[in-house]
Amino acid sequence: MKNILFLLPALLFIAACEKTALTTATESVNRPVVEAYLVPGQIPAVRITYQLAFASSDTVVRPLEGLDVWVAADGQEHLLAYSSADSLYQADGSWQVEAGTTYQLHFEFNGATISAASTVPQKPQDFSASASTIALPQFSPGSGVPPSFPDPIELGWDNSDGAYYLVVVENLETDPEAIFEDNGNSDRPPRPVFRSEPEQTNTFQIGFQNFQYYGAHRVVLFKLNAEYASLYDDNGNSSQNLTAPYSNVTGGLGIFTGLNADTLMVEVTK
Amino acid sequence: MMQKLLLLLALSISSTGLLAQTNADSVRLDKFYYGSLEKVLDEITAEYGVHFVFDRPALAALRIEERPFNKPLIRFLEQICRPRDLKFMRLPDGSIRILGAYENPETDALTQKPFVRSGAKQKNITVAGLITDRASGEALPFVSVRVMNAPIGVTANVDGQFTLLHVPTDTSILLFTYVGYEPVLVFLSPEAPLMNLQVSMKSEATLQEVVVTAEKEELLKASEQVSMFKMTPAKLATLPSLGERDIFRSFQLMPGISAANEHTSGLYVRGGTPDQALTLYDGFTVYNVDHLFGFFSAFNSNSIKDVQLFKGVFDAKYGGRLSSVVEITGKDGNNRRFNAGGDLSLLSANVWLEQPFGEKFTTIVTARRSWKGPLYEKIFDRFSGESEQAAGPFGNRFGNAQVSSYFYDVNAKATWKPNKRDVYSLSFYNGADKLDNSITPQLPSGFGGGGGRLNLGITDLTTWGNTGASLKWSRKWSERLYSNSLISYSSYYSQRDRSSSGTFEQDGETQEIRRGTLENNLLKDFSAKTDWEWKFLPGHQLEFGASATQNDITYTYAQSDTATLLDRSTAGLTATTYVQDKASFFKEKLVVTPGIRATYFSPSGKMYYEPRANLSYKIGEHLKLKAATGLYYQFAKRVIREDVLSGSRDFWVLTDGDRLPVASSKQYVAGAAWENSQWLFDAEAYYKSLDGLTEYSLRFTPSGPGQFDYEENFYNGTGVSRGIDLLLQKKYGRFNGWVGYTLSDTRQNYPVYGGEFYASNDVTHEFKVTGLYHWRRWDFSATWIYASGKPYTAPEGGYQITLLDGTSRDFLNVSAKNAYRLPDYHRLDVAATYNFRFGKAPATFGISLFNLYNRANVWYKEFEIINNQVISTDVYYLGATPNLTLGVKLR
Repeated sequence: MKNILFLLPALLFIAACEKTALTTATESVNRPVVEAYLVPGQIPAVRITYQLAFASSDTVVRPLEGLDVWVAADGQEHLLAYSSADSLYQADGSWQVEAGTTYQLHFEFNGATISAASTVPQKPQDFSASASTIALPQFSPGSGVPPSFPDPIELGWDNSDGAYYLVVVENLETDPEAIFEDNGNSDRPPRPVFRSEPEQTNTFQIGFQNFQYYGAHRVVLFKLNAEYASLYDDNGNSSQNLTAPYSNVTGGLGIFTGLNADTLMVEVTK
Repeated sequence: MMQKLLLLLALSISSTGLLAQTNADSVRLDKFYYGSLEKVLDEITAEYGVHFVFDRPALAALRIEERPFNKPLIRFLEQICRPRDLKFMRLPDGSIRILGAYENPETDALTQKPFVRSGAKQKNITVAGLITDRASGEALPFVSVRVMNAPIGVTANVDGQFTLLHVPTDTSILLFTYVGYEPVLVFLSPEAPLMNLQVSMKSEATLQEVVVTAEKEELLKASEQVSMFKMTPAKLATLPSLGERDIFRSFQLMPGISAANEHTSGLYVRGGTPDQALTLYDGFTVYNVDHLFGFFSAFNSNSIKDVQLFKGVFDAKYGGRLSSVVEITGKDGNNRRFNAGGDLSLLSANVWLEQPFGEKFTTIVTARRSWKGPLYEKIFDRFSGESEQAAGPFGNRFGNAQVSSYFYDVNAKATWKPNKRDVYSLSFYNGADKLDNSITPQLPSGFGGGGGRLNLGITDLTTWGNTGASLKWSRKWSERLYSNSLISYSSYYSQRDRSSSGTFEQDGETQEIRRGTLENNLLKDFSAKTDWEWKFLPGHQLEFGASATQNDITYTYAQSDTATLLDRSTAGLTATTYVQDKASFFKEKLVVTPGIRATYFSPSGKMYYEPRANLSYKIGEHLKLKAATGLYYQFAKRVIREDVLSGSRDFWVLTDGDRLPVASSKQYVAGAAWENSQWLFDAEAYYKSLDGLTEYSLRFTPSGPGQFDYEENFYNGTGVSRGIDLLLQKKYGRFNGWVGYTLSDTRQNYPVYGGEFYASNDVTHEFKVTGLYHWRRWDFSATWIYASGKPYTAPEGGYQITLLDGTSRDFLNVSAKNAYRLPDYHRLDVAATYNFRFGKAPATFGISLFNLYNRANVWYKEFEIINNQVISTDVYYLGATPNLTLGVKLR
């Protein structure tokens, strides 16, 4: 019986080997959420917050302060400064985002390195619209025969590199007049903005029904990276399946992406 | 031993020894005989002077009433012996000996220590023979045979045949031991039939007092080979059980095999999963071993003769799995006469029949079916999520569940032994489960208005089953060469339909809607194999063989009639050959078994080589050191379809060496065992690396936005499992049992889940105690199991991203893979079994209590997401559950 007791430590040694610590529940839930859009001409800025844990009693998102956040570009590292007023980590004013440059984010949190990288796309090329004005008669639904409507506005641009594009149309009037009269029984909120979803396309139609208000409209065409487009994937919050949200942040959550844009103006008249 | 001596004394020659012997052939009987057989034989001796030798107490208990009309005595004896399980033989002095049907007087005589030992006439001889069960005449497989005081031993083959080479002399003593049977000593003599020893062994008779002897029957036998266990189904009845004696549940009481899995009978061995365990029943592979949500195994213990379990590092003979091997040998059936029996519990009814046709042909049929007793209902409700703790899968519902659920299984086997060399057997198994939790709603009138009529039904139907058959031919070509060849078929199907469907009538047109989860998995296996054993040199046993398996596996997974996510159909051939040499050195102190297995797998078009080696070294009388290593491949595997919200499911696929890689494992085991006649202490440490593991998950979008192929949702990973198994067993005595402890660490690494994480079946500490106590006609037993909580993945939080148009989007996030742990698992089970006679039929009555102190063990967590809030529900395993069992057999 004594012999066997001597053997035990040897067995323990074989089975023990080295073990690395795995992600614990606390570490997992404390992963930081990054939000950063790198737009040419703007100062690089990154928002970093905690996620809202189901187990906690928090109801508001808490910013993650006191980090050393670095962004590198063209072989140069920049330490971002925290602005508590905006809850943002920002570069100083001398440094601006440029198209075609790759930006690399990294910071240390809870002993782990969180990192992300993105290249800022070039400005969209040959962005044009089939018309700069569209005339829409005012009417109220159900009030009789609808009037005849104009053709939609065709937007077009060059997409020879198969990039993702998204169109956002904003009404610029301060007190816009509605096109469709509601019957007084709807508390329709003002919709000064409408948008498309990211697509690998080179056209977009703005139909008359998209417009809710008269006046000046700004049409912004965003050129995007795939990581932004992935944010729009259905993350299946049904009980059939639960999808882990897409993120290009290694060790964290959220989005760190470059984008570019071009703008046109459209006027909606009576 | 004491009993045998008493028996010898009871054996007596009739008192009229002085009378002259009469020739029995000339005697004819012509009168009414009645009373005890003892009295009748004495009467015949008195009348005709024929002498009988018999066991007086045994024959005094048998009554006869016969009226022979001028019948020859010999015919009369045939008439009275056969139905009473007796036979007779003439002794050289003209007297007649009456003895039990399965007694072999020649060998039985050898089991008594002779008063005078004659001198040896031959040296270095070969001894061969057959080992059978004394009660049924059935051959006993894998019996251990040893020469006393010499380092020579062998294990009988599956047909009960053994050959011992180089036995020192023809007066050596042989010891036969087998789990659950009384050991037998055979004192060889020069006159003994050395090449044809017929050794019959006696199962522990439940009505006898247990006598402590040097070698005793055991329920469990460990440590014979590295990482191997044997169990005897006959003795399982004394362990606490939940409705059914269950060989797989009992294996879960061993260290290294996880017990905290009430939801499957499958074996989680040393970090492996049930699909990595090869289960062979009479040679054919069984792909699913679960009945009733896995609460019971698919094997009826009434049809099982022998079970062996390898926890890993198994021989080159076995392959196609990464983790472990369970080899089950079915019963052949009584070869003398009809016998039948049955068990009834709160869960199921179980019957078996044995019918011989002549002495060479035996058959056995066993069948069981669940009945809707209170225990069945309780388990069904718990596992179908209808209990108060677990909300139903569809929340509050209108209407009633029209539940119709059951399981059944049937085993049948026919065996033909035309001579002493050949055995042919045909074995068949079929079992199935149907679990129906469907609902026909009674909707309030006017529901679904708007001019349309709505009929909605909720289907929740799970069915699965196995069918298997094998035709086997074993032949003993010579004392040194033995072969075992078979062809087999096995199929497994699993269908799951958890959907809502309905017809919707609008404007005279009927529209059909069907949404939910629809799964269908079908697997077929056609195999042929041949295994050979050849003792080609002293100290060497060469084992070699070949096999071919054609697998045909289909799987479809759909979320509605039209949205089919996966539709796979694959077929492939696996052709294998192997060779290994069991070589012993230094008077059998050192046994080394190197082997290699080579497999061609047609879907990948590649060859796979699996070297294996196994070593044991005996130091002194009690201590044995052991070590083993090997490489293992798996070609058909079960893939887990991950489902964080309502529990993961799995399905079988055939690998293709590409998107679904062939799984492989490297294993290293080292250990030591210390054993004396009373105690066994066994310790083994293991390290196992796994490669080519696969999971299926819809949690991730593989190729970015847009359309994608659901086939891309297979993700591959690797794993590492390491740990220590300790076993302390008190082998014999009125009180016996064992304590097992496992310390383990099992991890997997899937890049898609963000690297390394604890495997879902990782259990850090597992501690198990089993105690058995025998008192008069009672058997008491208790088991206590403690296991650390298992890891799980949970939705853990949410965050918001502001989009480019100024709106924001909410994201719900899932924790790192398996970052959380369930609470620890523990439970106590107790049982008491009373052995009695029902008229003349042996019977048992058992009462057991599962989870005595009603511990609420968490099975898994269910999450529901409502308005971006997560509602978590604990789904529990069974609480305290009593059961009663009644078992009766004819003889």
